[in-house]
Amino acid sequence: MKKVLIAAMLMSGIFLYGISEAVPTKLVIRAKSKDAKFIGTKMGGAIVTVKDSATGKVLAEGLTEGSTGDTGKIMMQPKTRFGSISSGAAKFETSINVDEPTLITIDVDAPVATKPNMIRSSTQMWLIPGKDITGEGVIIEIPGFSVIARAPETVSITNNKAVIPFQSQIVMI
Amino acid sequence: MVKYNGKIINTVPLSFAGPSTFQGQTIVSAKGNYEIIVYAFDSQTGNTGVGKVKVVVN
Repeated sequence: MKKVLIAAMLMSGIFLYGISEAVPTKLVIRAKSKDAKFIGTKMGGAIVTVKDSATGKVLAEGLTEGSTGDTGKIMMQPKTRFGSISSGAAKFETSINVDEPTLITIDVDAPVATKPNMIRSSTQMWLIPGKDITGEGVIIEIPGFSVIARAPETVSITNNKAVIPFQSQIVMI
Repeated sequence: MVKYNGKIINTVPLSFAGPSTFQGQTIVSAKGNYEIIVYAFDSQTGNTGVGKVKVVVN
């Protein structure tokens, strides 16, 4: 009886192994500005690209959408293990079909609203079939400021000198 | 930073001019193409950022 059971287990294992069925697996990705809040619709969002690390094939791409999140939770309260800081904050949500554990590369480019200030942050992780990554999801940090410099296109020299005035708008990404 | 003929010729600190806004000026004497490079740096966080704008002096 024991041998039959072991044989059955082995056979079922082989049988299951033989089925290579893609399983939709949810993935939530958020972009968070370093020392600031989440990058969402207000900053034009963040471009998220999810690729199969082995092949480079793009598995999903899109923009983070939503609000910058809860200021108190993100900026003022100490974060605890398993504590959430992302409730209501911008995210990109997708579902990727994978039939085996797949190493993925996630690129996040932000902010879209001021493209000359775009910074890319990347990470890698294993996506396991059917094991959804939701809730906080994957939070990727974007360092830096958005700096927009303005000055007149032309300035004329008068009395052997020209004064160039300039102004800059500097905000957290 | 003020760039002219491929070289930084002057560095000017900006002054606060309102929420998220900073301003400054530089005086030059030669005609040509200039580039104003504004950078921001926060030593506490390591955050940096750069904005650039071109100016023609004639």
